[in-house]
Amino acid sequence: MHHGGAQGPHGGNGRGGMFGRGRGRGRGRRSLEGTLAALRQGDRAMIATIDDDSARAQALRFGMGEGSQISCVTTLPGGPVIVRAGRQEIAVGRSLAARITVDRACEVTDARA
Amino acid sequence: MREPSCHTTPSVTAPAPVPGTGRRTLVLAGNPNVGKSVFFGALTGTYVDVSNFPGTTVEIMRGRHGEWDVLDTPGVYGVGSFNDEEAVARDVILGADVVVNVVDAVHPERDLFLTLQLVDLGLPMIVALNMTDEARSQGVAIDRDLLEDLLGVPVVETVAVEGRGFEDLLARLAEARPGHADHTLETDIVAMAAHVGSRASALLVLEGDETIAERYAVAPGSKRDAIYSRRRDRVDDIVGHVLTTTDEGLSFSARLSRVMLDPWTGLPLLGVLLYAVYVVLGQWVAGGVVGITEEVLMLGYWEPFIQSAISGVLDAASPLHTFLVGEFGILTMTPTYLIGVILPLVAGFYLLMAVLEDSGYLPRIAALADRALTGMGLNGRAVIPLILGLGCVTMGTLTTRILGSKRERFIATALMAIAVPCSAQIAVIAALMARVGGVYAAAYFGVLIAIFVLIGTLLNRVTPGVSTDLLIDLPPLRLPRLGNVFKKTGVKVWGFMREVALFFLAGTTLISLLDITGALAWIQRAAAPITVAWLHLPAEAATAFVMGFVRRDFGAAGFFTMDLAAPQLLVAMVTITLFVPCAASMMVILKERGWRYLLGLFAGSIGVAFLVGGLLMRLLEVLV
Repeated sequence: MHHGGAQGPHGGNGRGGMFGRGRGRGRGRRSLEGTLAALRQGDRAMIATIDDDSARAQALRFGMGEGSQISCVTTLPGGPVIVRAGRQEIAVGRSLAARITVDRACEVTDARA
Repeated sequence: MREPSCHTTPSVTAPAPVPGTGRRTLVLAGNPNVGKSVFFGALTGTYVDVSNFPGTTVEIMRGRHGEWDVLDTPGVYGVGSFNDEEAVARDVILGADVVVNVVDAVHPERDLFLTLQLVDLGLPMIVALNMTDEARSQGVAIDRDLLEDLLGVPVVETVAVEGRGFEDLLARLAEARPGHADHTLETDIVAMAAHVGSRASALLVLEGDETIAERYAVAPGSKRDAIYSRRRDRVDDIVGHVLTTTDEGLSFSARLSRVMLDPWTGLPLLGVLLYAVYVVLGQWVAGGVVGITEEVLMLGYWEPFIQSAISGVLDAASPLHTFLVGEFGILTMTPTYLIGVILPLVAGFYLLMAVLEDSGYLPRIAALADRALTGMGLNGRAVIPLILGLGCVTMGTLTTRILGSKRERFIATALMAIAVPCSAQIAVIAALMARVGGVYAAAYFGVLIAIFVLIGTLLNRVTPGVSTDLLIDLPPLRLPRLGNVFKKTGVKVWGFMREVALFFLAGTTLISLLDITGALAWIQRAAAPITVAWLHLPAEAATAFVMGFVRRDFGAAGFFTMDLAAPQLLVAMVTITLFVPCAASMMVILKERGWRYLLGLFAGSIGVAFLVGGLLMRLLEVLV
């Protein structure tokens, strides 16, 4: 289980800017299905893609990069999703969570083993 | 008002090596909340701010230890350009001869990412594995010897707050060396270093750091994701080898954290906390303590004493008499407000802040507040500058550096400068409001919160750019160490009071001068259309607004001697709060945001203050 495949759609947007954003927040509602924003307390999943350049880097620093196993600690209604990766707890804003896709089929296999 | 979309980096005087002196630069680097500042204090003999949340070491602290120049850096999760603090830390670290990397032994998974980045930068370094006692009590054990082998740099165990491990650190400082870097990067780094001159800069360019790339006129690299992913894998690998945890069950602190984050329990808990703050600060301190310090001590004993003493020497009609012990005298009004009113409340506020910071509760408040702040173009992280702004707007403005975009810094700075009263101001206002009862005090805060939300929502609509989303780590909750809490409070209060005293002295001098020369009477007449006709306040209110240009708390104090009806007092307090920020914070705003921003803010805050004041007065006249 590696990161290579997950980065495909994002490598080529050519922006590379530290504050460059793939999407404006709140513009165009997309289905939350399969995103971090759809997780409920206790759910386990694997981070598939993070559609935000700086968030992707920051997530790697916290240990919840693409390919890592996470579990949902709790969600605040309309607010952040609280995620646990390893022994780290991370609060992810809702609109960012909607731009992070997760793979729930992987929950039984340990990607980082 | 259009802001360029590209970020700028605050200018940092790079710690250039002093030629010929043989002094070398030691830089402290680490994640937020790891106790770097305690190391700085221990090494240099100066105590500086020690905090449990990102963003307090806003200024680069410099000190000396023997042959070393010691520099502190803001706490960061990595070196780069993700926000202004990182940029500051990056520039300081690039100038280091030796880096002391402070690592929190409680969560090495997070901290070692920075460590490995520093290793990859190729700087001579030494790791201080801090808070090993706390890690052990939480069932976390780290194999120091193995970590040292894997990193390739010396690793020393420390418990900084208790002063343990420093001798060891100093003894091994000479062993500081570059560690085992990511070997797959070597070819690229060597090639890039030929263009940019140093290995460290080369790596940052490869990681896509635009500022560094621009500095050397090369194109930023596009391999950040790959480099970061491999670094994360190495961190996980190292942690897998050196870390053993014995306690897998939920500790009390983990359970408490759940309670704080669950909205059903977290919001009521926050409410209880705020109420407790109100009872302690608003009732006990502002009511009880200030009643004694101001009325008994200062007004009862000090002022009559000094007035009769001075009157014995000077003619009561002389300008010098007015200057020293008159209504705004530097021996009467100044010490009465500084010691009697402001000191007790500021001390109380910073004590509570210190407990809040050291416990790790702030990031949880940030998570709870995220939803509300999103509507104002900010994210939960902005609670840190905003809450610090309640202590001192200057401090809060500096802390906007932790925010991820220029847009957020723009909005947060404006909100603080207009609608967030600082602790000194709250002290004076609380003392004044004590005369008119709880309804008016509640109305005061109600109006301010409404204005805060209104301005935030408006700025979110009109400010160009895109705000960043919340992505923060929630460090484990800790029981604050009382020694540290008191030390920190003492330092903060001392620093704050020194600044307030300076401005109060300057302000009283100015007002006395205007008074003696008759300029004050002229200003009062000239301002009458606003003060009397629009705000329905006495003409002397103009004096308070002139004082408000110096400091808003000083301005509020100007209303003390006026005989105001309850609605007038409320209007006066709301108007002076929304009025221009104090001279000190204006200087910081000028430095951080530029003169155009400051001018806009200056005009905006005066406009908002008088508009809201007048409308509120009309509303009150209908209601009361």
